[in-house]
This record gives sequence, C-alpha cells and structure tokens, in this order.
Amino acid sequence: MGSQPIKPRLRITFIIIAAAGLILTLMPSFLNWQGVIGPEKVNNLMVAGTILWFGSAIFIFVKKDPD
Amino acid sequence: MKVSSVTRKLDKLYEFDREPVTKNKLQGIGNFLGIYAGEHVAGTEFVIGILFVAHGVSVTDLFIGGFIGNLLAVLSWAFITSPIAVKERLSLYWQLRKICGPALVFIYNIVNALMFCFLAGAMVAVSATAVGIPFNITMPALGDFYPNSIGWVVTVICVGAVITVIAIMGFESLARFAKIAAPWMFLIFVAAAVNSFPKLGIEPGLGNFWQVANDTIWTGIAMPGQSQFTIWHVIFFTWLANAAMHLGMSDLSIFRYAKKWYYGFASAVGMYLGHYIAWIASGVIYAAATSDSPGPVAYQAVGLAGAVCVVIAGWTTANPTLYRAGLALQVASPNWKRWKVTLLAGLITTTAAMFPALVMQLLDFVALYGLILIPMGGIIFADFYLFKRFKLESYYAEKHNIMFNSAAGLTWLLLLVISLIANRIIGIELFFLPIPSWIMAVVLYLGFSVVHQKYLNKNLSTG
Repeated sequence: MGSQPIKPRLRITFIIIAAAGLILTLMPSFLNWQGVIGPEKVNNLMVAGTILWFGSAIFIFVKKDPD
Repeated sequence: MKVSSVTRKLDKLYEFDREPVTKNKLQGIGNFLGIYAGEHVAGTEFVIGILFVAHGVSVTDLFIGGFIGNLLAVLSWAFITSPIAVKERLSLYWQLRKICGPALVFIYNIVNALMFCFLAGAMVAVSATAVGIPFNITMPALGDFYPNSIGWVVTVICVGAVITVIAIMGFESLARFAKIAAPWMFLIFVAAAVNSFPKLGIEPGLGNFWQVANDTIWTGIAMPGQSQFTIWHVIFFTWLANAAMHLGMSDLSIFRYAKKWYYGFASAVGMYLGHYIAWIASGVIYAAATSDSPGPVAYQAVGLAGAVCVVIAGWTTANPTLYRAGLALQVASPNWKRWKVTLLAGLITTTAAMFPALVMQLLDFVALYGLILIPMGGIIFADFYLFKRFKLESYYAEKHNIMFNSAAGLTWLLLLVISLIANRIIGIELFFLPIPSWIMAVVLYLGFSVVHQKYLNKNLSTG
C-alpha cells in the first residue's frame, strides 16, 4: 500500500475524494433529520461515503516505512 | 525457568527502549493530537454509552459528570504523567525496572498481558455482534453472562481467528489502517446519533432535545438487573477509564517523545471526542434501538455503514491489544517463537470473548483493569517527586542491583488485597477504589522505602 509517493495532482484529487467521502458520511443523517431525504437513502449515501473515504484516504495517509 | 533467563528475555524484548529518547527523536504536538484522537474513538465507546443508559445515568449526570471526569483525566495526563515522561524520557518498562527490579516487572508484565487479552476479548465480542447480523445470530442481552447460542460461539471463534492471524502476521499495516478509520468512525458515531433523532422525536433545531433526553434517553432510572449510577459514578468512571494510562503511567512510553510537558493536554482531543461526544452519541443510538448489542444497535441507526463501523472499531482496537499481549506474554516462554505466543494470547482472548459478561460488564472490567495497575503509577510518582525530599534513593533496584524491590512488591500486593476486601466485604464499588489505591500506593511505598532503605543501609554499614 502506498509504496511509491503519489504525484501532487493525484494527491489533491484523492484529498477531494476523501473529503467528499466524509461529507457523504455525515450530511445525509442531517438531511434525514430535516425531512429532506428518507432513511433508506441515508444508509446508501453513507455506504458510498465510506467507500470514497477508504478508497482515497488509504493513498493519502498510508506511507511505507523506510527500510 | 530461571529468573535471570526471564530477565534477559525481557530486556531483549525492550532492547530498543532501553535508553532515554534522544532530542532528535522528539515529536511535535500534532503527533500527540493524532495519537489521542485515534486511540480513544474505538469499539469500547459503542458499549460504554449503551451501558450508561442501562445504568440509569441522568442527562445532567452525563453531561456535567462526563465533562468533569474528562477534565480530571486530561489534568492527570498533563500534570502527572507527561512531566515525569519529559524529565526521564524512559518507557514504563524501564522506569519500573529501575525502581522495582526485573522480577517484579516480570510479574507486572504477565498481569498486564492477561488484562490486554481480556480487553481484546471484549473488542472481539463487539465485532462479533456486527458480524453475526447477516446470519441472524441470537445476540447476547444485557444480563447474559454465559454464551447464549452455538451461533454466537461460532461467530466469536471466526472473528477471534481472523484477528489472531492478523496479529501473528504483524499489526503495523493494520495500525496505519486504524489511523485512517478514526475520523470516519467518529463521524459515523455523530451521524448515527443524528439519524436517530427523528425516531426519538427530537425536532430540527434541537428545541425539545433536553426534554426528550430526560424522558426517553437518560431517564435516571436503571434498567432491571442493572445497578443505579449517579453523577459520582460518571465522574469517577470517566476520569479513570484510562487510569492505567495516566495515573498508572503506561503513557510514559508515549510522552517520552514530547518536546514539552504540556503536550499532555493533547489528551483532551481523545477525551472530549471519544469519551464525551461518542459516549453521548452511543447513548442516543441505543435509546432509539431495540437491541442491547452494539452491532444491531448501530445497524438499526445507519444500516450497513454502522455495522461496518462496529466491526472496524472492534477489530482495530483488538488487534494492537492482542499484539501487545503477545509481546508481554513472550517473556514467560523464552523458547517459544513470537507466533506461538500470539496464538496463545489469541486463544485466551477468543475464549474470553465467548462470555458476553465481558462486554455487558465492561464498565466493571475497565475499572478493575485500572485498579490492578494503578498502584505502580503511585510508586513511580513517589520515586520521582518525593524520594529526594525524604532523603531516599530513587531507582533503588537499579542502584543496588536487586531483582525484586520488596517495598514496591509489598505495596502492590497489599493494595490489591485491600481493594479486594473493600470491594467484596465492605461493598465499595470498583469505580471508587483506584484513587484511594493510588494515594495509598504513594504513601505506602514511601513508608516501606524508609524502613527498607534505612534498614538495609544500617545492615550494610554494620555488616
């Protein structure tokens, strides 16, 4: 995982995706509370947020230890 | 097994921690904020918030008591643990070895390893409550002590086996994964609580939050079979949930890398995110759910993401704990390879996890864990702050090359016996014992050392 340093542009892309993942994890529950979306949609969006977060954060934060 | 053989093995295990941390290895406050934020949003938070509700904590007890308890914990780290760590820059193991001698530290290590196994066992059980959801496993209820179904036992064995295998393979990759999971887990806690608001009738804008919190969530009335908690229980439990780490001095190993003593305040991030907001969130989720087990409770709140969060929260806590238990146990079996020892720790952990009592009585276990290890923190405190004032020698075991400092050993043993009597015979609850025990450890170790050192010195001078 992350054995090579990622390029700056790719890193920014991953950061944006990761941030979107966290927003998708948190926001739907507030929208449900406000009555904007239903519980089913909340669950699906949170799964999507989870996938986006782990799929991108793993490349941003995981660095290989120096040998 | 000879004591010298054990000592050599123990020293080799901690070889790289032998010297004080050098200046070039010191770290900035950001690392400590990250460590505490990551470590204290864990699987246990799901259970503790639930148990507070079950024990009839009232809303003011939780909000005010939790705030005070966490503040006391942060102050303990900042004013007691980190100043000693920054001054000495030694790990707990080497500090204790210098004071207590290798034989006593060996015993401490084994006790610590068993505690680690039980803690990891609780986390395996937490994960199992989520893994069992798709298989319709009968989940343990609050009052369950023994395994309640074959399905539960099989699920625990499967989860325990996976976690043990990963721990055998080394946990570094998983530790990095845990750091990534931490912010996401915290948001899942918050999101699950907010998503439970409509079920509880909490209106947008939080206008009726306190009323609903009083009437439906933290009602102040304990559930059947659960003891009644007061604000004092909340304060003392919250303060001492990590007693082994602050007053017990385990976190000397962390803060020895701190540039300044006041980095101890970084613990506030972990305390107020994990042990305040996450516990409150977990109580809200539980009040809206129809189960007593963390997995189904989280699943009912936010679906698959909640269940996955419970699995990851349990798993990421259990794995390093099991790995550390393996390390600590290794000293008792000099000819065993690391994988065999970790396998043994995994077996103990998995067997313990089968008993739902470990999770359902987690508050008592956490208090007991602190109670058993906290006297050693008092001994270190006395050695560091008080010995010079009483003209006693610090690091006595190291200076006199003794294997077992009887003053420290007697202090620890006596306090365990006194705590046992206070709990079992007098009936004082576990949550209230660690602080008196720590204070008595300081006083007793000082007193025994006066007798010990003066007596020995007298013998040496006359002999």
